[in-house]
Amino acid sequence: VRGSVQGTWASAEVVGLGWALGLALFTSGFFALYLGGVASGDAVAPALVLALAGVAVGARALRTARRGEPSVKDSGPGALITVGLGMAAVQVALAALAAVRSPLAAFDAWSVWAFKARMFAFGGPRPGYFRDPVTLHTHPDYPLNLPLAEAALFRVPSAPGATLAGLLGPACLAALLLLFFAGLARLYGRPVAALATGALSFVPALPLQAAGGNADVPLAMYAGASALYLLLWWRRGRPADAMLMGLLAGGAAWTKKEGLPVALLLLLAFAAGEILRRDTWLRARAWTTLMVILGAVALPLPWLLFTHLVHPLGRDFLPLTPAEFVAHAGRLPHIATFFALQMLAFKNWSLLWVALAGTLLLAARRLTPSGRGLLLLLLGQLGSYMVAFVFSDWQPYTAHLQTSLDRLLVQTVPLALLLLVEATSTLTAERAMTTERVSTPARGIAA
Amino acid sequence: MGVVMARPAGWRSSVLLMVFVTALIAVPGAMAESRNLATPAGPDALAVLDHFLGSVRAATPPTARLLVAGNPPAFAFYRATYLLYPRRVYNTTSTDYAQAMVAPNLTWRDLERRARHDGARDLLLWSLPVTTRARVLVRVGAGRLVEVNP
Repeated sequence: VRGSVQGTWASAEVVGLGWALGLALFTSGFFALYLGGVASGDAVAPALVLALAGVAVGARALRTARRGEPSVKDSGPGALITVGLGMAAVQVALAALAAVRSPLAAFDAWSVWAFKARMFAFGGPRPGYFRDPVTLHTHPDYPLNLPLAEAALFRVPSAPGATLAGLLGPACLAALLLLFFAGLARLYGRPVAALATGALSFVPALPLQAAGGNADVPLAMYAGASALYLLLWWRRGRPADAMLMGLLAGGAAWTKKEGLPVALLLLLAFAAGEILRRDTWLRARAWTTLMVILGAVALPLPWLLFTHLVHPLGRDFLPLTPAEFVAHAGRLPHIATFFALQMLAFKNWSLLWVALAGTLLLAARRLTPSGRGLLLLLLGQLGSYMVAFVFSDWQPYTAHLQTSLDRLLVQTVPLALLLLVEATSTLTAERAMTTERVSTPARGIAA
Repeated sequence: MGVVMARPAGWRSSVLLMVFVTALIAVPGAMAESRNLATPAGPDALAVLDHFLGSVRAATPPTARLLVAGNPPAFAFYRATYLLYPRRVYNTTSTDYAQAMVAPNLTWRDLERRARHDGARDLLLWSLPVTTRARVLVRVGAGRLVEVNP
């Protein structure tokens, strides 16, 4: 029974990580080969072989790392596991159905991401594309993780490429849910993990965006899973979790432009945790930190080098200078109001943000150090998005907020739910301890 | 073989609270999603534009240069850029957000001049009442592909 308990989440973890990191390894290898002069059509097969080999080696290393790890005993009826995972499976199926019915339906899905995919599917970008103002609306400065994955699918012979490409979003949603279940099961047991996974899948914006073909759900997968592994590292101290946190943060930086500050925030939170830790030698902490940073840099490295050398054109934002910030800082109260109103849009978030705010109000003083770390991470991510709109060059900037805020918030949903689960568990643990303290003398008197 | 840790303190209330939280998110979420599912998706509504662009793709070589004048201007240009790749597509107006929805008020002479400037041999018109005697190569719905005299 013990083996099967551990086996359930271990399999979910291998599949989730295999998809998330295998995808990023494939596209990063694809881009490195393209930069090395290999025609984009010829780069697909070697990049795929590299990714499959990487996934196989990684799965074996993970199995070794997880051997002998203690698992939390299930704390509730097994039917809850079926209900929670069933809810998640239904949501993924609905997202996949919507993606097949209307492939790449979201505006950015075709005008930005799939356009780039078509370029790489048909022989690679034309010379000068990354500096060409005629195609500036396709955001040449956005990373290429999603487009390169779509490009490989556009090349599949006699298959509707757009339909296959549209299924990448639901696949990323499924991987995120598997990783969520696997990670939370290690901390809180399978029933709580399954219920939390079901709740995550029912935040309406998540399956909706997954079906639309934008890169926000893939980014939510990388950023959310990285935050989850950071929590696991803080709570269980397994180096494999720290390493996976770094690799997934790198995946975030390789998926969307705002993934880079998200990855930096995750690394900052990790580094702060290491500085505050006193339970291991300084050399061991320095070694782990170095491995995590190298892991985070590995996947987006070809893109980061390329952007450093070529400086692809960007749009939407003013120069990031203190002078621009001061000139437009007056926008901040309006931006904060937009954020608050958007978080109350039940059609996008259901009661997620309301439930989180309520739980945090009750649990704020009793939050564990890792809970406080997650809260700071969430506030940092939301804060970075708010500051980004101060630099918006849309006229009016409020149109920029209206058209992109829901997509940005999707990226923070897994982290918000993670914090909600941690705060909920803090509340109940505290309550149990209080009850225990009150009931002990009574038992003594009775005896 | 793994080691099983003790149940965390307060596990029963923890599970009950999680059931409550899940219901709090899932019930309104399911209601919102049922409404989302009933709403038709975006690009399907523009199937006619896609059909026209498909005909343009069939009628032009991959190396072609095209000038797009459409209504709404930015949308027609973006869709043409996406669906006609690797053909090079130019726009008649700026695609910044202020002008994205404003249909250009252009004559055939203006369009010819712009096409020659961009090296485009064909002009793609979508929902624009421009009159011309030039040869129409493709006509689908509100779309016309017109040859520009060199």
